[in-house]
Amino acid sequence: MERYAVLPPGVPASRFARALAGFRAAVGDEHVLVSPEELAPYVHVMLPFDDDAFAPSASVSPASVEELQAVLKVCNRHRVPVWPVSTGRNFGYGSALPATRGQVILDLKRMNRILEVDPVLGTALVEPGVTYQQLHDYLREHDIALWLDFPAPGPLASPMGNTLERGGGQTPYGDHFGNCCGMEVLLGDGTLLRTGLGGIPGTKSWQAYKYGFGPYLDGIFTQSNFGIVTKIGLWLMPAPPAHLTFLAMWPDDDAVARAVDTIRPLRYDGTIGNFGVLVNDALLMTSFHRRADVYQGPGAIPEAAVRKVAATHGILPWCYLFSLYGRPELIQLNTRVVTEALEASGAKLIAGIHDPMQVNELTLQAFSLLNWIGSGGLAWFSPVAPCIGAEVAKQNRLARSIMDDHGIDYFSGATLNGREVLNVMPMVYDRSDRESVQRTRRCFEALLTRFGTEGYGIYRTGIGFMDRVAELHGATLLGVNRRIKRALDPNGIIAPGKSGIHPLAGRS
Amino acid sequence: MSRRNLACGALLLLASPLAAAQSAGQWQGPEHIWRAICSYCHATGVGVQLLGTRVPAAIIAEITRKGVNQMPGFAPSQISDAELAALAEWITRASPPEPAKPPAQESKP
Repeated sequence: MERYAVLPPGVPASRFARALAGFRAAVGDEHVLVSPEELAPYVHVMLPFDDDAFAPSASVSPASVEELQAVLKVCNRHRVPVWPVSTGRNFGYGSALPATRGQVILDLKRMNRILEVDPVLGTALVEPGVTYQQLHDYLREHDIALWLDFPAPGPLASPMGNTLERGGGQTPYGDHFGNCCGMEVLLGDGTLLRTGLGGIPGTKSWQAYKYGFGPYLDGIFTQSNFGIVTKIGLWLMPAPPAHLTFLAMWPDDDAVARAVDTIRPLRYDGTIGNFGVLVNDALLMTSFHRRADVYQGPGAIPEAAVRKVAATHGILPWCYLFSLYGRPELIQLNTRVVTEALEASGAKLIAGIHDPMQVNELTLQAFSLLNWIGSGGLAWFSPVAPCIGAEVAKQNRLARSIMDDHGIDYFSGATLNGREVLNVMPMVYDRSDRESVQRTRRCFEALLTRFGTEGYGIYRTGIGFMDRVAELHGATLLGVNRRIKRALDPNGIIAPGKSGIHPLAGRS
Repeated sequence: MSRRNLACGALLLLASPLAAAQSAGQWQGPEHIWRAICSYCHATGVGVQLLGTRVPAAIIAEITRKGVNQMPGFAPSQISDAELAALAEWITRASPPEPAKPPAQESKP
């Protein structure tokens, strides 16, 4: 009998062999990968764990909903769990890897049809494997004046994946789930569900009206393992007549609270059109320098060392990049409004900055952050704060002190809404050094514990931390999620462990 | 081009929703892959400069498939074996990039 390097949990080799035969019959031999050599492209956890802790047992790549349905039947018959990925570019959250070892990666990259773009209503309907690059090129080729809103891994990532993870971007359509409308979802039991108005034969408004009739379900399929989303409706932004990007910089480290309290009303009433990003000088500095060039001492890079190098680029301790969008007269008026408010808070303001993500230009520049150390170690610690200066400042102080204790450099890149701040803090560490991996993991866990104690939630998290984060959000919520899971996926074959939702209660 | 040919061309564009498709077996050649994927890092300074360096094709193909350090791997669902071989060969043979033109827009400080 064939030997396998990794098996799905509780599945003997003989049963796995029958499942693989079923997958091959469903999608064709060349679209089922099994050996560690073949699976290597998927195995880059980036998070502070061994890659092997999340090693997949196989990957299978269907090209259509019909092939996917056939795959799912095989999974149910043989109780083989699958971990769906659209393009698998969830960098710093686990990339393509499953939450538990031995799951089969369900790689949906080959399902990449752009099914519909409506230039009048500004909507699209796409399959999982469509990338932002593909959709961007499509709009250009067809001369359609709609913008996309990209997450940091823009060209490589998919609107489907990022929307389902509730990711964000840097235009007025930055809330990706907030701008999705209608889904087709294959449930674990084989049901093919269309949400919203998608269930009506000959539906006229599936991508125009989100809520449909009765309970609004789309949210339960985000950060979720209740089904496999096979089509997603998107709202796209009409290209604005004009836009202007600004950089506001505050000269003192205590400026964060003042900055947030100043920005809040401008976001809240829509004057500032996008989340923008409030970054510390250290994060901006990574565009220009590698760590080894600016600091060789022990522990986290000291603030004084950051300040000295940042100053040579004219970067002040806290910087906010944001844009105004709309008609030129409106931008002119709002420029006066934001200038007055931000300068009164002590900021220096520069207009006419170029930040590609804020203006519909694809880029991977954000990942120059990975060159800071250079071995591919990245974990996003992403707590949520209310959009209140004192709260954000408190989170930053807490995080910085815990990271200092663990010798982790403190980077901050918060996105601001009128009411909430996603206080994103990328932790870049040396993945080639075992001690550094373990230290980063301990640091992440310490952050989770402390932030939980302080009453803060987490916007999104990666594999390896999902159980902890789910616990932090309350046993009742997790219990209800597990009951929904049992109802929709009775054999528990879709992405066990996603967001801490395991199919069987009392997981060991 | 005659008026009739023009009309046919326009129809073709509308009737080919996969014109921009970018998974395995759909690429329009190595330069298409370079532009849509590789260039974002390897022509911007985020990753190492590759064009004109004559790195052997076998090494490019191996690293592209499996990834290394901060570079992710690219699975056969995205770039087929044949497409990867052609891409690696194209990169190996490519001339060094033109010297950078002055930026059209103001850049970050």
